Amino acid sequence: MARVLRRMLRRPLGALGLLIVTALVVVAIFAPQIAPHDPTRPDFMAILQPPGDVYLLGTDELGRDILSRLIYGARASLQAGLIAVLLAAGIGVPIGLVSGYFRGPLDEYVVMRLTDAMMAFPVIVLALAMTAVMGPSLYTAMIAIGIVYSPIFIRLARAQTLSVRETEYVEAARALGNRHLGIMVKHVLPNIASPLVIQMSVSMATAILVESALSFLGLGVQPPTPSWGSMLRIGTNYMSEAPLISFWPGLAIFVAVLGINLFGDALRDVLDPRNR
Amino acid sequence: MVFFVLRRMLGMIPILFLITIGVFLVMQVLPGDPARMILGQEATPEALAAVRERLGLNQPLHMQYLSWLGNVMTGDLGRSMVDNSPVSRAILNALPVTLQITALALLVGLVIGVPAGVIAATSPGRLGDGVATFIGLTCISLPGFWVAVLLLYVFSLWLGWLPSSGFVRFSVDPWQSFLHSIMPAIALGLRPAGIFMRLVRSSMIEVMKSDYVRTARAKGLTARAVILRHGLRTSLIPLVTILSVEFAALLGNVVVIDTIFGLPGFGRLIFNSVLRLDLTMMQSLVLIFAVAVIVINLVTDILYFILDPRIKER
Amino acid sequence: MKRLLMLSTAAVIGTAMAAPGDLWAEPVRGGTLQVGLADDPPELDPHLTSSNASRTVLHNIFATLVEVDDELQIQPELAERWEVSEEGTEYTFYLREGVTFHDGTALDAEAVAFNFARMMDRDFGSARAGELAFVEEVTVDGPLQVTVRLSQPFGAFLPAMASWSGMMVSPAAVEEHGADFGQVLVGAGPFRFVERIRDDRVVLDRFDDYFKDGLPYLDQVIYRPFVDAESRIVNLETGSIHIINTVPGRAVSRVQDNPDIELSIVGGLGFRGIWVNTQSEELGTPERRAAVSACIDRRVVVDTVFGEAAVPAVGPFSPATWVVDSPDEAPHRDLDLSREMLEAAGVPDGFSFPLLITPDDESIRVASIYAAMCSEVGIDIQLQQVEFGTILSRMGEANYAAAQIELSPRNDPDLSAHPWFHTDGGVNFSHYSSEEMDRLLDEARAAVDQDERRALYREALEVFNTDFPYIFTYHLQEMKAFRTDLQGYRHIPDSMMRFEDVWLAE
Repeated sequence: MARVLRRMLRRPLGALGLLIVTALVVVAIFAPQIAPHDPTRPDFMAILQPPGDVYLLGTDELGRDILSRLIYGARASLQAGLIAVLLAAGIGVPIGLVSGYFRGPLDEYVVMRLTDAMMAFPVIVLALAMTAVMGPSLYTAMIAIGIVYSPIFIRLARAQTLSVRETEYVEAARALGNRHLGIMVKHVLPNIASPLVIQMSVSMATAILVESALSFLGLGVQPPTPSWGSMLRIGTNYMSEAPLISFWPGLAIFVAVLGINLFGDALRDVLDPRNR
Repeated sequence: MVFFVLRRMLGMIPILFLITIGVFLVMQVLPGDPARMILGQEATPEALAAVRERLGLNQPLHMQYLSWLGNVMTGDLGRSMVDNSPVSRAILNALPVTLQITALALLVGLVIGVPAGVIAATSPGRLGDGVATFIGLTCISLPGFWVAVLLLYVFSLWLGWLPSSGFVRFSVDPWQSFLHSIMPAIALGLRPAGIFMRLVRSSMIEVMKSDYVRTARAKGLTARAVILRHGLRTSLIPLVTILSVEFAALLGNVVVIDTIFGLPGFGRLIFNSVLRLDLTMMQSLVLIFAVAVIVINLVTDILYFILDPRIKER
Repeated sequence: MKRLLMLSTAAVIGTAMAAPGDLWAEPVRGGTLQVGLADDPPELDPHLTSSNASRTVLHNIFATLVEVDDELQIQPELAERWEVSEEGTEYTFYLREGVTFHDGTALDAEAVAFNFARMMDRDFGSARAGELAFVEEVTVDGPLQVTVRLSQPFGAFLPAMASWSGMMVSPAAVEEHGADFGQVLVGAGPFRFVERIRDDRVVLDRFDDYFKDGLPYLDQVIYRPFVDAESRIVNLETGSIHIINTVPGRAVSRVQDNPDIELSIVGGLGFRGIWVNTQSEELGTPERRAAVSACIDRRVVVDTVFGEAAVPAVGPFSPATWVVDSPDEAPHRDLDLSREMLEAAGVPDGFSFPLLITPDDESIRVASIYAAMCSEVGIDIQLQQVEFGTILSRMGEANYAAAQIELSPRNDPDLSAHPWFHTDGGVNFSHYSSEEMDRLLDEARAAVDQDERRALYREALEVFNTDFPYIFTYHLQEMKAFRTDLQGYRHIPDSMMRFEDVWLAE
């Protein structure tokens, strides 16, 4: 672990990615300590103010501090990314692993066809339907994203398992009479872990993008709780009077996603044996 | 080969069934009542009952599904529950808009991504490497809706060069049509541009290391000729396959882009039909979306098959 | 200007600004009018739809039995005159001679009777069945004479005949197209329906045989939906559309400052605020609802979000009606009263409830302000953005605590109160039942004299402000913004855009 980190830090882009991700996590965790104002408290005497001394990045359409809202918004984005990806991997990896390990008609005709079907299901429809049933919230959005991304993990885990199951040590473990579950957990999983970890970082960046798009459409975090996507959408209503309102949250999404992508790219370079 | 394609096509049928049943079930758990949606706030219980009857909503679930499926089989996609207009008409109106925008977006992706990838692959050293990675990841990380909003601000509100919303059909006025499509296409096309760039770069680096390029070099061909004749051509093959995947992803992203630019495309149709609880419209749209994605996947699979016969029995 | 807006007549308040450029200009024939709508109209069959986006289009395709004028007084239209029996239960209409539908069918007494039968046909499921519930029978007394008998007096019957229920459809077209009538739309109004492309446009052409000679002036009307308020205004500014049907409050001064655009403001008729489910756990007692109401500073809500585009509300009757005189009657913010009410409700530290809102900018802003204001006494409002249809369904099923959705403004106080707040009201979404309220609304409905009705509605206002079956916060002003080359536009407070006598200056 430490070795991986050290090797990543040797790459400038990897270091940059790590820096952004760390900053993001720190900001999200310590938002109440960092934010200069209450992010949901309106100030009706200071609506749509330009950046200034009291409000560093200005105020929004209800006189709320934009900087504080951006800081709190990091929480929603990070949570959405993390939980959605953990959910997707949590659903996808066991299914893919078992399916690839045993193969057979269940694998070919049920699991593969089901993932095909799921991958053809538009994310927005699922999110809208789930919102209608469960009520709109960050959690609904996270679960919807998690479910939509699980087929990617099913396929990846399955493909990797397929290539690992024929290797000598797995055959040897089988010959020694180890139980299937034991083989899968002890021998297969560690050998397919690095592509899965890389995929998780890539998916996390996408998940944050999708969550902000859903919030942009009103399906994610509910007002007045700040989220970057909904701030951006509200900001578009004030483009002629106060264009910066929609600029900041977009920049925040971009930097966060870029950071995670840089991090993931460096991770791939370090972990992927072909690049060594 | 023929057998492989046939088998894949037969395999599509159960997927489509699964999807239509999935959509149908999802629609059933939606809490809204289409009849109330149609009649609005002042609906009387009798009127609601009559509308449900007219729409066939009081039939048992499996009957509703079967009658919808039967109609689809005969090419009748049904009628919108909101205004009783044929679903096929709405789709035919929206499809050209979305096809034009997504095709243009892919073009933007190729025009930016391929040359950038070639340049990146041929500029040696760690600096060139880093810059290329950074630019590629930047394109991938830019949220399309933010780019859309920025473009709107600069080119419509500030400079006043481009129309901020709406669409003009190509058949009506090609130039206006282009002006209306260019910003949505850029907003949608940056992500594919980044992906294409990374792909072209990595596969070209691999190709340039290969034996036959070395041979070509040894024969005295210029670097430029080597890149164009060998490197680029070979790296286009994986590009074609990723192109189809990206096309499917674009279809998903048009929902947000249609909303921002007020485009009467597929994305708006799907979003509005969910908002309005237009069940028949939804079902048919998702079916078409799914068919598109599956066909694209099938094409990709076939391409893989042609390129790499080793996967025959997987 | 702000003071002027406080006036309470239904007259055109913004006349000074809205006056056509040159009152004596000669109307010009021809031209295509581009109209920007805030929503894509859904169902277009006038007897099925309840959407105002549809209705504003339909008024130009379908002529109504009677019309309303600038002051909401009933005027002749298809009916050149009418008689009402003494007890107010019999309306005899005398139709104009020689009126035809767009397909050439004669608009006579038989056609009117056919229309009533269509709207009252249970199997057809017309959204008009509710307001025609008192119609007992319709008889054809002569080729152009038709009588409608009601089971009880109904003060809002004629206003209803100037709206959807009065829109006459061609019997021949209905018989030919049946359920597809909404795709062909044959009426007797100034314009013929040509085509509609969902989410894109509705196109109307001039009807050459319109019964008013020389009208309409325009050759064509094209409606286009611009859901996004910003793009609606930008398109008006650049001149690609001539008129828009709603102006967001924050754009008022921007539009006023533009010399090419005229802004017309009249008192609006609808009411806005918070729907409450009086049967819900969270808001089931009047004390809890009163506590919420007392937290809300209606003036701040209006000033922050709407500016000149709204006025504070005291009840369902806007200051544009003859019931309420001034928006100053609206209750003031009183946190002490709110805490007192919380005490009385047994929740001195406050309580929390979910508020369903539609996902649009104005709705989110207003609700966020409510939440911030109520949090000061410990009332925690959790906002949830949900689609309009879902909210409507949940309200109908009493499966909600509080909601904020847009209502259609109606052109008579009875229609603004009776269906919504009477125990047996067709749209009693508050699931509210009060004997006193029922009595007042019933008596006002049966009363014919306006002073008597006013007194009864004033009494009802008292009940509204003790029971709070709805927390009234503001009335939107009715605004239209149009380019100065659009001439002759008459702004009617029912918010519908009628284009029969407007023209485009060269």
